[in-house]
Amino acid sequence: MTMDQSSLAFRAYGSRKQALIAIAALAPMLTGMGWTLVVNSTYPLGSRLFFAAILGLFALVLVGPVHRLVTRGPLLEVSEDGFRWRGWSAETIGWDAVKRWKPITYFGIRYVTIWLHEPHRHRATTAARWTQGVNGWFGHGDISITGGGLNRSSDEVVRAFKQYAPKAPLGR
Amino acid sequence: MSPPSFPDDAEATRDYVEWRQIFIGYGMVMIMLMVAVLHQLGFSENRNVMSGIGSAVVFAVMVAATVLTGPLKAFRRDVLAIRPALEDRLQWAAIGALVLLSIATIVHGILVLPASGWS
Repeated sequence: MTMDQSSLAFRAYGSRKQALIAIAALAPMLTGMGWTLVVNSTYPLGSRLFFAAILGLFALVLVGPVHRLVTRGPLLEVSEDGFRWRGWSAETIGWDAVKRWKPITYFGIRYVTIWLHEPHRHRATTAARWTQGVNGWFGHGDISITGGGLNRSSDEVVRAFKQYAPKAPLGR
Repeated sequence: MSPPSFPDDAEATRDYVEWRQIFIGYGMVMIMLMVAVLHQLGFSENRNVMSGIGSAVVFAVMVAATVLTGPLKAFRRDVLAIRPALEDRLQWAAIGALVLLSIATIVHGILVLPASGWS
């Protein structure tokens, strides 16, 4: 299935401004700690490897912003055909595959969270596959979409789903 | 209620961020820069001096935020809100300066920060 290319579709692109701010803000802290604790360090090798692993985990935060900087085209498209969320996969998921969806707020962040009829038929091809199970513990559906990192707000994402999804959301 | 309308692709590529996100970015870079500069000036050996300077900086930032928030919000509302192209250029300029400051902070930190932390 291909996404409707008409101007009626809602499209959200990665925010290059947000990506640059996140990278510029975190890079000095990560490189400074990496330099003093790992590279230019007098700690034993085991400690340095431990610090490197911890810093590596923190550095994962930068994967999203870097990905948004290099990704061309819209990250989220919502149309009458369905929705395509590049944070999940390159596939357009038709509305007939969606069991239900609703907007939720978690730690002040608004999401559109989506439950699928057959999740195994629409597997994530991104790092989202690793967080899918954890998200379920927090009341999320199979796929969660937020406006963070996009050039559209979370409210606009919710409005797009309200406009194009065939069924009414289940409520907040 | 009229249905929501979505802008065409040209407008969809607009990229607005909240100014506070930019200011938070500057704050995080300045913390790292301050730590490196204080070490370079030889203050890092004295925890009392470091603590005093840190408290003074936090206080100064809180006062500045209290004093400047009103005028800045008014400027955004009265000038930038009606001239989005100007606001976009200002944001890109601020972010460009932030990136340069970040690179300078990284290089400076590598040159002056000691091995195994600064404590």
